Amino acid sequence: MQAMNGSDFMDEGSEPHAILTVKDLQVRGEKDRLLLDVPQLKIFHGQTIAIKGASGAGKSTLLFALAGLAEHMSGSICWSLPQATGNKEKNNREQDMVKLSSEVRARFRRETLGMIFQDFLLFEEMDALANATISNGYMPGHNKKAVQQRAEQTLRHLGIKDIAKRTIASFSGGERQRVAIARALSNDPPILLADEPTASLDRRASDHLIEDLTALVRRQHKTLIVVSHDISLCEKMDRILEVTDGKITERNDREKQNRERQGLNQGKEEVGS
Amino acid sequence: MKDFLPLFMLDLWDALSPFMQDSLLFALYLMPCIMVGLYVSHGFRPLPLVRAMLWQFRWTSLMFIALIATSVALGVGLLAQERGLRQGTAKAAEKFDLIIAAPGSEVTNVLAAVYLQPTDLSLLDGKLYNEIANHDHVSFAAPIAFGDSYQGAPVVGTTLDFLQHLSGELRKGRAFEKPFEAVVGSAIDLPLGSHFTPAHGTGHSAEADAHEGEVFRIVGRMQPTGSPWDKAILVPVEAVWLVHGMGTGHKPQEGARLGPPFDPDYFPGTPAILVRAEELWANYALKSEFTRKESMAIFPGAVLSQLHAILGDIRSVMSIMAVITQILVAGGVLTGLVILTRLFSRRLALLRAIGAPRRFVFSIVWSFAAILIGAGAVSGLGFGFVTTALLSNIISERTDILIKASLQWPEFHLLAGFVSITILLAMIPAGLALLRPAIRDLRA
Repeated sequence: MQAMNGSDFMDEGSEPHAILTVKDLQVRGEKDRLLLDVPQLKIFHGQTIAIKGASGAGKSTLLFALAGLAEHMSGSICWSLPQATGNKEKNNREQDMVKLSSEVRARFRRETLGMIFQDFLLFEEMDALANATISNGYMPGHNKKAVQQRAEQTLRHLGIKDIAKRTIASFSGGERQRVAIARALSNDPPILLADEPTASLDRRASDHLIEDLTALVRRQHKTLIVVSHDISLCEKMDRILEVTDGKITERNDREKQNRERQGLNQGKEEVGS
Repeated sequence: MKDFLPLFMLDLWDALSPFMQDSLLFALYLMPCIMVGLYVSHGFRPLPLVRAMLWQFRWTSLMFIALIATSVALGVGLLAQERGLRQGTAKAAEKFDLIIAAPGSEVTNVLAAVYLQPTDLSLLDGKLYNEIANHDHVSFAAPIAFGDSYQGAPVVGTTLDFLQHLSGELRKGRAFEKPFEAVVGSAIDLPLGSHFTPAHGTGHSAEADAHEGEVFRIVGRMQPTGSPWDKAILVPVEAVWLVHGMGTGHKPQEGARLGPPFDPDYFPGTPAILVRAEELWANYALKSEFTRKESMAIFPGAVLSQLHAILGDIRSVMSIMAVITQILVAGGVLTGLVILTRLFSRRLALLRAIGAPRRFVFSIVWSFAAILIGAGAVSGLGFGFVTTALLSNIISERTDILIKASLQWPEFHLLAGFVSITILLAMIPAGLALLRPAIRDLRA
């Protein structure tokens, strides 16, 4: 695995580097049903992007397609990542998820992507550190120490280093998701994909997690693509993509988002009164 | 094994010690699963995850292990028990070179003379006895007389020659020197110097007071022989005849003399004569010579071989059944594993989602199955041994034939073959786990 940090993605000119270019992407499901139709999408390095939409609209399908996990895809999903060479030249390495074999996609994911899931998907019987360093099971030997160090560091940043040796079964939802984040970051991936990371948490735990996640991502210059219904989370993102019936629209108007938030708060007050 | 070796390797194979041959065969049987294991897990560390999954599904895993252990124990136990039985019966008969009895069933005669099973047999007369006893090639010929018992132990009349042949040096005391002295088998719980009066007959129908007033004194104890004779009481054959009012086999004027020669006119008859030849080859000549109209000569070993052949046939049938059981259990376990992999399919999907190589995911499922199979097989070996030991004790208790439970190479070969085949088959659930769509499992 070639570790990459944020500066690797900074182009010489003022133009930000498009880390992802999606063109004419179509994902089909059973009986050839069109699940997702994305004519064009660009995501730049270091951006934080929220994908929102109604249930079943295709948000998670988009996320899984970007990770190369979806089947029956057409079009292209090109990840463009700089590849460090011996003399420190940076050549962009383009990987089209649609065309790659499943094994190459898997390699891409383990080298480039960190993934976070709604219900954590942790090994309950293992301790937090073992979960966070799960990739050491298949990583080449020389990377293992770095993975261990990064996992410990992330657990410390997320405030759970002291309980890193406790089994997950004794953890709260917020703590579990922190372990999942540490696991996602243990390989130092430039890109984080998160599927409803706060959906299984209560409001307070969600807010804490959002703070920690965004701070961590910004500090480490990661690109974050997160599927979420959580308005608090969405409003902290640089861009918001809305998925409706498999089609994507970009929403830049913070006003509407604020209106939604006000409406939600008003609704809560009405329910409260 | 030799059938599969090329000619030039046959000499090499034959030059190896039996231990080396068995060890090599064992390693050869295990080789396929070791090779697969090395290939599948090369460069990976699947065990922490496998351990976690084993712990999470510990009860299900234990059930699988128990199932595998039972089927392995069945196969192992069958092999060990049959061998123990064969060796035990052979050892019990090894002191009996040749038996000459009245024509009838060879098996019945062997059961009566060697294994002291009560039965009614026709008697041989004194003339024939003397002909045998005086034969040039005969070292000794011992008439036996049975039918009495004491506290369930058969009281067998015989001669000093046979007693010495059977026991060698006595463990305690001395041999009988007078008609009403007795030597007990090693497993008889009667102290030296104690007295007893035999009952007429054996078992529940024995008449305790039929020989009232005839008191025997125990003067010696035999070495263990591993045969039913360990639970017998040996007395001079003359005493048995005497208590039954049949004389002593000697002329009255000869008094209380023990042992041959016997007088044909006073010889009451014996159901069997135990013959020891001067030389091994002479047994065949004696067998030929005394297999005639009024007598038959039997090699107990040959009769046992026939019984063992039947036992072997039964073993073969049972082995086939055990193998079928093992195949069914292996099939059941593998089907169970396919179902079980569905239980941890989300975790496997997670691994695939975070980019774990397919071979790593494969190695997790395969290692999980291999550990269950390995643990089941080893437990089955132990379980089979313990069961065999218990069964051997019960059989020894009931037949007085010493059956020793032991694990030997055939059991290890069976185990290695079973483990190897099932572990290879475990690649099926591992492969099927990879075919599952990761997204569907992640969303499950």
